[in-house]
Amino acid sequence: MHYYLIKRLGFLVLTIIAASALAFFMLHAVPGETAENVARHTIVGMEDSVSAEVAQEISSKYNLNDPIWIQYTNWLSGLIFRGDLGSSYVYKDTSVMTLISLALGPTIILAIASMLIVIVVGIPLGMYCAVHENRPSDLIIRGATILSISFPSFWLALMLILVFSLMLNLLPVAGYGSPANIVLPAVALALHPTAVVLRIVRTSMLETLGQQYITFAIAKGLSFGHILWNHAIKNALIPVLTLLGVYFGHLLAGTVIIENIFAWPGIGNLLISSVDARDIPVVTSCIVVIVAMFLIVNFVVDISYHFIDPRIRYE
Amino acid sequence: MSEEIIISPETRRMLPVKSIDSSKNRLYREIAKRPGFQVCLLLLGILVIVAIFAPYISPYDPEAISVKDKNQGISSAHLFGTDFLGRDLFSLTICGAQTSLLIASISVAVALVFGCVVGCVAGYYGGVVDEVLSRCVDLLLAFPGIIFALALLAFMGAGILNLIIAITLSQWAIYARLMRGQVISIKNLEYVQSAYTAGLPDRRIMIRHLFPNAIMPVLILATLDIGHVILSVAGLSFLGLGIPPGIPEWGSMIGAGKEFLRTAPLNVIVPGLAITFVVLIFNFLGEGLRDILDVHNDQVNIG
Repeated sequence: MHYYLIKRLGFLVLTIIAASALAFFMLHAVPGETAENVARHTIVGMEDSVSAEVAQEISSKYNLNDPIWIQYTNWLSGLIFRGDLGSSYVYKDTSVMTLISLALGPTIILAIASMLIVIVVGIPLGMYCAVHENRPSDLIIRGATILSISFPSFWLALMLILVFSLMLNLLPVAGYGSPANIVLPAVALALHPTAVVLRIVRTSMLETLGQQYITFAIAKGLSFGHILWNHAIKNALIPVLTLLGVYFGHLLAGTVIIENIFAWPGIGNLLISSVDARDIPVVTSCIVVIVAMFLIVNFVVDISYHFIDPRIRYE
Repeated sequence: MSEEIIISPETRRMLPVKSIDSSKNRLYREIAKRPGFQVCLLLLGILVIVAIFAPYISPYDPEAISVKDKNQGISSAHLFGTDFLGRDLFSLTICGAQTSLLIASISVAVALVFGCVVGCVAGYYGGVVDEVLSRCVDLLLAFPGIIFALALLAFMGAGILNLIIAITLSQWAIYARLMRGQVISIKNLEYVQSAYTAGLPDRRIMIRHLFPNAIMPVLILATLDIGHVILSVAGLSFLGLGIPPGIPEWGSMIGAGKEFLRTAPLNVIVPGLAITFVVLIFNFLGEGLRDILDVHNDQVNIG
């Protein structure tokens, strides 16, 4: 177990570093243009034409003339040894670490709120469908899940705004701060994963209810509720756990669009505004942070299997 | 399906032609049993025809701006109303279908071919080749959802070709992983071993024996994925990263129309319903295909 843990942890760190390299090289592949873009976005009067001297000055200020792998090693060693992600081109040289740490909280709050909706709605409804297999209620709920994985989440977000904010005036259109602000983005974000989790819970529950030990428990005369809650649920929910890990990543990716719509001051919003401004250090760091969060959550899910299901052993 | 896989080429030649035929007949029989699936196929057919002939079907020029007609409601002249520049929303939506379907099908097809080749090579050769290719796949799959495509587009800039490249590069890894698993599960079966013993070159073994028998779950995944890719394309265009302005596309229509959500909600509602409708068709088709071919659930889930 310890050996496995260390091996997995090593892989985790290596994958994060490799992903950061990929993101870094991809975004830094056009050195000349970078300096010009920075000038265009930061210096007043340079929107249309950028003089060569200014571009040169910016290039030397941010070491843009170094070979790309040296730039990357500098960036990586700064991250590892000083916890420094470089400085933003656009936000008046604020350190990227500050921007990221300000944005991380709102994104995590939003992701956790959506995950709660997924768990609270998806798992019980999935179990309900499994128990009522092929009855009208099951068919209606399953139909609704197919419909809801077909909605674009950003469109749903706009429809929610239209109905609940503009027409009914119940919830704020956008913003951050009060608890009412989180309802609409969390619901819009939770829609897809809830539908998928519901379907997997249903399938997995049906499979578990067909097992012999359940038949035995029924034959023994135990009440169905007791069997469901004490015998079936633990085994049925194990595959769901993996899915929750994977969908946490989709939530993180989904926040990019949803945060943009609701002006939620998280990583996604920071990422998109930085892409628009070609603020490459911020873009790279946002992507690396999202990838790292995704990988860490899945790592924790993998490890937690051992505690949930002692039958699973690691080599 | 598993029974079919074990039949060696020699035995297959000895079997009466009818029995091979019957698997095809089984497919038709299964489809005949499912009216919902037929309706979806029909709708898909109509959709493809509409998309191909979009410029001829649309009643107005989708680019024709007439500011005095802007933000009109539903009327007999404008079936879905007009947008914030007075363009006919029905025409825009139809032409948007062309853009969406074209981009989604090209990128899924390219990703499918590339992913299958990589997965097949990795699974068949194993060892170092497998290790290197699998690590690449793992690396790409570490980027959740649209993040990788978004990073690529941030670097390359918006554009139809760039969008196709970005989606393809972020999708192929899923197919490669599934294909690799399939190939590993069948490569030790007797018919592959005997083909190897008979001295067939690797390329021939892969093309003749591994590909056809391993590809079904990957194809189903691709069908399920088209809907998913349409959603990704729409999302990226909504953010202004996908399609350059001037080409009708549902995601960018929603993105541009969202400023008028209060005064003219049709700008947003119409393209959104179009996306939902098309993705719904693909989801139903993928679902039905999975039932018909009876592929085990866990082979295809987790996109």
